Parts: sequence; C-alpha cells; structure tokens
Amino acid sequence: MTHRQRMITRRRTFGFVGLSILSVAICSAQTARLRAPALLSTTDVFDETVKPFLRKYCTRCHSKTKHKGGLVLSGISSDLANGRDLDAWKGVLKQLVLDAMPPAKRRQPEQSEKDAVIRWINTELDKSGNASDIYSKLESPTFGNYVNHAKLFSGDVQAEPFSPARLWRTSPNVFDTVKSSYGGDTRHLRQPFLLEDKMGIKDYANLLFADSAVVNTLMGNAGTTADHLIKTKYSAIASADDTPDKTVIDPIITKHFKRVVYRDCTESERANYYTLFEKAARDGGHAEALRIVLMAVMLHHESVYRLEIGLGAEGSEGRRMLSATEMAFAIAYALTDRRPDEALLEAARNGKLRTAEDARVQVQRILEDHSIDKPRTLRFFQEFFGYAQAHKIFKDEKRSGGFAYYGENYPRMYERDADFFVMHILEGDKDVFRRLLTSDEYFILNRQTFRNTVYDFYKANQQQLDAGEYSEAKQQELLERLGLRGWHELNKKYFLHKFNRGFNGSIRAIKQIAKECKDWKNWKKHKDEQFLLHGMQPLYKKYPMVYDLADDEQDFLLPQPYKRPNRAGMLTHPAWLIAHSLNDGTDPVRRGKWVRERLLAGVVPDIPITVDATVPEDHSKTLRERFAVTEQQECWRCHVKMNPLGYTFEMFDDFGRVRSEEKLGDGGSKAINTAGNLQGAGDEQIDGAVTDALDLIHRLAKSNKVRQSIIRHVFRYYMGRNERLSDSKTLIAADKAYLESGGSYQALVISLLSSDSFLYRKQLDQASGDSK
Amino acid sequence: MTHSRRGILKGLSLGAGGFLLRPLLRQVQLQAEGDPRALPSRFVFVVKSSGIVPDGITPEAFKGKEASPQLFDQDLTKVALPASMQALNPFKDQLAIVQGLSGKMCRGGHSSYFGMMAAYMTGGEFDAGTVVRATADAELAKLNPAPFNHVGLAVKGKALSKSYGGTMYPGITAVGPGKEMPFQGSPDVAYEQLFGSAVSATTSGEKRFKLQRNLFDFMVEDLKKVRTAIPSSEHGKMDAYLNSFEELQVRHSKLAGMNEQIKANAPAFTDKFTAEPEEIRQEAHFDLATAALIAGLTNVVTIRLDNVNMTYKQLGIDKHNHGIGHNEGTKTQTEYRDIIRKHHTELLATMAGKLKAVPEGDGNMLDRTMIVFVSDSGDAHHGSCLEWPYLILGGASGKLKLPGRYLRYPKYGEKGCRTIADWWTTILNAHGNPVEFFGNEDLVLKQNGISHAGALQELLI
Repeated sequence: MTHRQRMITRRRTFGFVGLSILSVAICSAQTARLRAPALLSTTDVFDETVKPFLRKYCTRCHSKTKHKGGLVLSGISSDLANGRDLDAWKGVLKQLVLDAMPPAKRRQPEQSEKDAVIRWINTELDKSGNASDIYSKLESPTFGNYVNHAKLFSGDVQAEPFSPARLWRTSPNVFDTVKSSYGGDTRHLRQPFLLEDKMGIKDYANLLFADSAVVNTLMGNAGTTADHLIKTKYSAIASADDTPDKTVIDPIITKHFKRVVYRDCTESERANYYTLFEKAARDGGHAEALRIVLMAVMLHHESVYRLEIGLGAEGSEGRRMLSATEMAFAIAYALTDRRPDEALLEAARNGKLRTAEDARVQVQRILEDHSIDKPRTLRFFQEFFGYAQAHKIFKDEKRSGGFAYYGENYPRMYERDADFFVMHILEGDKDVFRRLLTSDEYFILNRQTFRNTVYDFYKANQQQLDAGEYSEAKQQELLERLGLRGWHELNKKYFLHKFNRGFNGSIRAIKQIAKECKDWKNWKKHKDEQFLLHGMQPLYKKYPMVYDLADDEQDFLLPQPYKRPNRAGMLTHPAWLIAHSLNDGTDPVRRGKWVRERLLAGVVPDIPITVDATVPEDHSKTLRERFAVTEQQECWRCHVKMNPLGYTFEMFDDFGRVRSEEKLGDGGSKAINTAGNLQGAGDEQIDGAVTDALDLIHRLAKSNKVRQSIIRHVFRYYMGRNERLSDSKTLIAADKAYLESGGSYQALVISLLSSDSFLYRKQLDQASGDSK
Repeated sequence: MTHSRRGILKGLSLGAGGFLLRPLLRQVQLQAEGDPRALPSRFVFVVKSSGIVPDGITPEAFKGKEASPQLFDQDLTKVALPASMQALNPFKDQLAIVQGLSGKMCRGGHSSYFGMMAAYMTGGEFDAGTVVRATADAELAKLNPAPFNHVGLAVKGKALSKSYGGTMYPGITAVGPGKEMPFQGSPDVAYEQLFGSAVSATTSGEKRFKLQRNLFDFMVEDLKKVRTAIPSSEHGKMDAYLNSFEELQVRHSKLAGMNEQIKANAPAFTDKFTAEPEEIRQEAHFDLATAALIAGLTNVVTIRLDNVNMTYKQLGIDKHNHGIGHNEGTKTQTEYRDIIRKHHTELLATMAGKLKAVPEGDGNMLDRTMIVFVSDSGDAHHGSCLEWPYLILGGASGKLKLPGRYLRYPKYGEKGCRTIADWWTTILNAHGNPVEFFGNEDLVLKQNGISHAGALQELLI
C-alpha cells in the first residue's frame, strides 16, 4: 500500500460519516482521533512546509497577477477557522489527493512533500470543525477510475488483495425475496432499503446506511407483521388470562428469530428478548408485550446489515478469511437475491466453505444450475450500460411522429428489448463484451409477442393439437421458440398479462391463448389472420420506428433476434440512446463521457460550478455546430475527452433512429457530421480519427483497455466498492480467466468470487490509518 | 391556548435532540421565546378525484369574461360565490381561486398521480409509476417540521383502486425519489397514532404508546452493545441505525411532554372514527387533521378525499364518481358535481372555522394556514391537463398575494400562459425553498418560444 493510499484509507471513515446525517457528537469524536500528533505548532508547519510548497509548485500560476482559474494562493490565510480561504484550502487538498495538480507538464512534488501538506490541511480542517468531501467521494462509484489503470494491470503491485471488514446494508431485492418468510402479510410490508435511482452501479457497501427513513419503514413493517402473527398464530396466547412463562415465549422468539435473522438465536439473545417481554408485560400486559418482542426481533441489526467481518482463518498481511457462514451469505447475495440455499448452508456446516477452491465450486454450481434465479447477472448490465433509465427521459410525442407514451411506456419496453439482447448474449457466454458492443442482432418484442407466437404455433400444429397429440419433441419446439429452458423460466423472462402468467405449455393452455386471440376485438373487426399475427396492435404501431422499421414491416414473432443495419451493440440500441439523450435532443457530451469513463477507464472532472452549461440557441445550426462553444480553450481541456467520442452518435436522433440529416429549429435541415476521434485506448492501431459511432465501437471492441475497464466495473458490482491498487492481482487474474475462457462472463465471475478481494477481510483502524 | 402551549414547549428538554430533530427543536425554542417569525406555516392539501370542473368554481359574475390573452385578475370578495360554495362565504377574504394553469408535463386521465404535486409524467391506468422527486406538499413539510412531519389521511387509495381503510398508497405524495408516503385510511388508527400518547380510544392505545418506549430503549441498549463488536471503521453505519432509535426516544418524550396540549385538543372519540360510510370517514379525517394542526402535532396534512371508485351514498347519489364522470345516472353530471362540491366546501369551511377560532400571534391560526383544494385529475374526470383549478383557503402566512383574489391565467399556448410547475415553484419559494424551478418543464411551450419556467411573480410578496 502506498503512502497516499494509506492516507486515503485513514480518512475514509471520517468521509462517509460526513456524508451521512449523523449527530454532530459522532463527527467530533472522530475528528479528535484523526488529528495529527502536534509535534510542531501548526503555524510552524505552515511557515516551514506548506508555504514553501505553495511557492515552489503553485503560486507561479495562482498568484495575484496571474490567478489562473480564478484561484489566488499567494497570501492565502493559514487560519482556516476564520473561514475566509476555507474553500481554497479544500480545493488544494482535492487537487493534491487526486494528483490533479500541478499539471503534468510542470515540476512535480515528491510524495512526501505532498503528504506533509495534505496532513497539515486535514489537521487544520479538523480543528476548524470542517471536513473535505474528497475522501467520501473517492469511495463513490463516480470516482472509481481515479485508481491508475496502467498500474492496476501492470503486474507490479505485490500487495495481497482484501476487502475492508464491513457492514453492508440489505439490498432492496433481498428484502423483496426475504419478506415472505417473516410470517406476516407481505402486502402490507414496504420497502425500507431504497437505492438512489441513478445511473451506474448503485449497491455500494460504504454508501448505504440504515437511517431514520429506513427505521420508520422498518417500524411499520415490524408492527404489521407482529399484529398479523398474533392474530393468526398466537391469538390464544395473547388473549389468555395469565401471563405466559418462558416455556411459551422462548419457542416463539426462537422461531421468529430464525425467520428474520436466518440463524439460530443464541442463549443470551433469547434471554434479552425474554427480559424485554417480562418488563413490557409488567407495564402493559402480555399481549402488547408479545407484540413488542416480535417487533424487536424484526428490527435485529442483522436483518438490516449483513456483517462481513472476516471471522475465518487468519491470512497473510493481517487479513482474515470470511467464516464459512459469512462466505455462504456473500456468495448467495453476490449471485442471487436470496439467502444462501441449502447446499451452501450444508457446505458451511460441513467445513466445505473454507478455501478459494470451495468458493469456486459453489459459485460454479449456482451459475450452472438454471433452476436458481440469478437476476443479479442481468442487473449488472442494466446498471453498467444505464439503458434501464430510458423510461425516465420524457419525449415529446408530437415531435416523434407518433411515439406513443400514453398507456404503454415505449422506452420501458425498449429497455426490455435491451434485456433480451443481453440475455441472448449471456446464454451463448462467448466473447461476451465484444458481442455486447458490436452485435447487430436485436430483439423487438411487445406485449403481444408471446401470445401471438403461441397462437402461430397452434395454427401450424392445429390438427394434431386438436386431436390431443402433443409429442415431447413438439413441446420442446415451443419452448425453444420462446427461448426457454423450461416453463419455470416463463415469467422470469416475459412480462405477461396477468391471465397468461400461469401458462404451462399444455394443449389446454395453448387453446386458451388461441381463444383469447380470436376474442380480441381487432380480430373481430378485421377477421384477418395476417393482421392478427403480423401487425402491431394499434397501441404499438409506432413501436418499431426506433429500429428504423416501418409500422408493419416485421411480424415480431419469436424466435428472434433480427439483424438490424447500421447498428453495433448496446451503444446503438434505442434504449441506450434514449437513456443517454435529453428530452428534446441528443446528448453528445454525456455519451462521450460515458464512453470515456466506462470503456476507457478515463476521468472527467465535475463541471466547474462557475460554468453556465447551456448550448446557445441558434435555429440555423446543428447541435454539433452549436457545441462549438465548448471548443474554447478553458472548456476544451475537459470537453476534448468527451465531445470527439460523443459526436459520432449524431448518426442517431434522440429517439435512436438512424438519420443523415438533422432537423433544425428554423424548419430546415442540415447534413449531420459524425466524424470523431478516439484517443486513450492506449493502442496505436485503435486510437485515431473515426468516421461514425459504428467505426468507433468496432475499434473499442478490439481494445484491451476497454475489456479491462468493463472488468473493473464488474469487480465494483460484485465487491460493492471501488477497486484499490491492492486489488491488482484479483483484476489481472479475472482478466486472464475471461480471455482464457474465450470471453466467458461466467468464468470472469467465478474468478472474481473466488479471489482474495472477495474472500479476505482486513480491519482498517481509523485511529492510526494503518491496517492492523 | 398559545400561551399555555408556549409554556409546555418551554418545558421540553432541548438537549437530548437527535440530529434530525434539531430543526424542529430549534423552531420549538423560538416559538417558546414568543418570536412570531418562528410560528410555523401550516398546509392542508385536500385532493379529490375526478377533477374540479373550472366552471363549477367560477363565480357567475366572471363566467364568459375570462377568455382573454392576459391574466384575468379580479377581486373575489366583491362577487357572489357559486351556490354550491356558499359555506365559504364567511371566509371570502381568505379565499382564492386560481384557474388556467396547465400541467401538460403530467399524465392526464383518471389520475396524474405524483405529477399533480411534482409536475412530471408518471403512471398508467392502475399504476402510479416512478417517483422521481418529493412532491411539493412533502417539500413544505420539510420546511415546517413537527413531531409528525407530514400526516397523510385517505378515504380511498389510487384512482381506480378498491382499497378502503388501513395503510394506503394513493400515489399522490412522495417524500423523496422512490419514496412514496403512506396514508392512513382508518380514522381510528390515525386517532391512536396522533393522539394515542395522551388520549386513547382503547386502553391498548395508551399502553401501546408507553410500551414503545420499552422497544426503543431495548434497541438502543442492544445496538450499543453490538457496536463494540464491530470494526471501528464501520461504527458510522451502526450509529446511523442506533441514532434513529434515539430520535424515536426523543419524539416519544416530546409527545409525552405534550400530553396536556394533546389532551386539550384531541377530538372526543366517538363512533365517527369507526363508522364505515365514506362521507363520515371524510369528516373524521378532517376532524383529525384540524385537531392535529391545532395541537401542534403536525404542520402539513394531505387528505386523499375520495377516488373515482367511490359513491356518495349519504348525499343521496346513486352513481360512483366514475359513472358520474361518464355521464351515467339519473341526474346530469353538473347536478351531481354541485351536490358533491357543496359537501366538500362544507368540510373545508368547518376546518377553516376551527382554525380561525384559535388566536395565534397577531391573528389566528387560519392566517398562517394554506388549505389547497385540488384534484389529481386536474380539470375533468379524464384530466386534459390543459388547466388545473385550485381553490385556496387561509392566509398562507401572509407570504402570498392570494387571499381574496380570483385569477385566470391565459389559455394554454397563449403568450403569458403558465403551468402548475410554476405554481408549485411559487409556493415553495414563498415559504423558504429557493428552488429555481420545481418540476419538469413543458417542452411544447418551450419549443414554441413561450417561456414560463419560474415563479409566478404576481403572487409573491
């Protein structure tokens, strides 16, 4: 671990406390511990260390005469408590921590010089009751790329990987699957563990807390569940005249605890609950006391946070392996939204969850077992690509020429199409990332697709089916047509109408669908089989337009996909293009930023607060022409990282339709310019001028850096945190596993989930800043 | 009343507050010191279904005179109110009618759901859709904290749902992205929750309140022990959980300390609070809301008054609101609507009367209250979103130039037309939320060069 990393680690806990809404008392207690030992008076340190540092590296540009970026550091006040130069000092700290200043072309300070200044600023910030948000920011997904990519994959880092010993808040999806086991009426339970609905990977261990909003919901859930249990299971006990004793209450506690916390209650825990019961019974009678105890169990901290302390065998460099139980939960929650299955628990009990190899066996078992629901796999791609945010972008219906919004939300359906695109590639599990980036085979489904396909199957086999003949092979044929391995997958894959959800592939079910089709009012009106099967319902008429298809150009029956011209993978999929567009136009900057950050492991700083980021109105110019304002020197420093990538997507309009001209505000139109430039792939063969998005994407798909950048995101998703330099070995091994398996996502996941980063924990002591 | 209340507030311990209760305690302290600026602003949002037909709330004198491209701005106190609104006559100087604001950034139809108070498109026929931001009522609750920050009472749930009683999610109020606010549908349960700490209908109610303390104490003790067993780097997360229970302890003490004040203001528990008929349930909810405001238990209440699935049987109506909206039944839609409006305005008038009777500062509680009567489907049974009528009662804390005014904004698409997003921006700005623009912009207006995004300056003081 480098010194800089230690510094980051040291400050981390303080940072996230700053983020949360905790009491001031806690903050100040922590700041007290974090204060540097005062060997010298801080004024001395300023005069002897900080001031000369500023003079040597900073004030050449940030002087009163030059004040670059509006910042003056000559004559800056060393008294942070007076608040005058507080923001300036926070700025300096940020630049130093992120290695952003001095600029690369200028003389660079030694790490030890920088550390001394960083330490002084932190001490002074603490003393003045302030804190910088830079350390908490470094923990957040948007700052993941600040760890140097080349170093990470260089093979030079020898540190042993680990994750910090941690608490990780229950995910909303786990709550959804677990709630039915609480014994209450799930209809009255509300989601306590909401994630911020934003772009990118969301479930980060260090960013999520059980705050008072969570507790309010938990209290409500606990109350209704307790009421329900008392009404349905314990009414006799509650209404009995005498207060029940330990022999009655203990089994109730034991059972409820197991339901909620999913482990056996310890003797002392049980005793605590019984004491609560006794006290409450004295105060308010045993019926209410039973309610309180059931609620208390529901609020157990282990149902709110999962504990990953590292209670297993001791490893090198102060690391400890997860205990067998911890490992069982970690694997289960990494791959599924459920608690560990019986096989995992049994392995844990029998000492078969102690090593990386044990983990590998279990992970592989779960991945290969198609009867186990693994929604987390698809969710990674939804979060990574961000296409699942398309439904939030409101498009003006009129401008589109019939893009229906009312009733059915088209973008939501395009997101589903994109899901199918991803699932199809994952089923093949070969060359996954390259195919995701370049495949032109799209799925185009609507709510009618399933039903029409079954009807089509019925028509083709009507004679046999009506005669009750339905061979094994035929049944298989229908399954394959629908892209299913078994009927249990039906509702996982398709969002069906309520009355189709019970479809089981039987003759009766097929005939029922045929009847529904004939009952459909448009069938009655048209009496046209062709229309029924091959046309879109009026509601979906304009649905295919974003795929450059005319209203009735395709029949949209399964099996699919369809090859679409002028497309290359997810970044040209309408769902992605809409999700990365504005209400009324394309968004080259955001698209460019996406490619820079997600695929090229690059860093684009936050937009400076002094910048008024508006594109000038000019009805005679294309958006790209109007973007010329960003080419001014001070803007271009950052925009050069985004615009030349994002401009290439101008070959699509903001609905995702291929275009050659852009409609202008004055009613006219102009030819679009899709030329761009790719820099930063780190490969001469790949970097350079590109003609359009397709050219850009096909180059990106060949890049090692792009592959590694995606793998970094996969790492973040499964580990619930940003990578550190010390995770280098894990990432290199994962990259290797992916390559050697011919681009298998499963192989990549197996490698990550049996890595030291996933299995080892290390306690980071905030007092010294060093790991124990 | 206010004096005795001050006394009680003064007696509260201010030292024990959790961080979240701090703004509340600060306000309580200022109030105790008798600073009139610290008096809270109160809000009641009364949300009916099936639309408020603009003509129905327009005084006869203004009918037909309003198709003007300019803002039609008149003195409401000088004209007669429609017959169905006579109950509001005593409050004419505290009444305002605002018409003509469009809400085309919302979904129309049976309900615009959260869009009504957060100005964006969401939901489908049976589904309230995604919550992208807190609704305006919830934003106002954040600015005016109280032991119960925001009380939601509902007679019915979502537009077409059949739910009745218990916790309901009508899809109209959200406290933040993805966080819908629950509404209480059973007046007896709401009674327990609001007043149970001091008075209770059942013996179990008071017991339950007292016993909660045992639960909070247990959780706090238990979590303190757990804290020692986890790595120090992770204490922050556990402390967040622990502190939430400490806050509940504080609220519990506060409510216990407000005992007298709550007792003095809680309505007597009658069979009104357990009655089944919807109209009586509406009355019960209004009683609860009014008493909670007067007792200082809350400053913001949202009442979901009905939905399209409900029939006003007690008013002698034989069709549910949906049928009425589709011109079914023995009477005309206008006749039905007049009967229902009369009932609604009587509910509003009763609430206003009670608030007016309580002196506060230099005036009375109604002066510092803003009752907003609105429909989640805007102007019609199937809302067009072309206009969105509002009826406002109360002095709005003197922060808006509304009382006594009748305003009709230019028609949708006319130069000078404005939107409901502008309206909510105005109310938020007036009450201390400086948001530049709340909600989504109307892109069609924007493209047609009609600039609207910002507060309605003519309403700001």
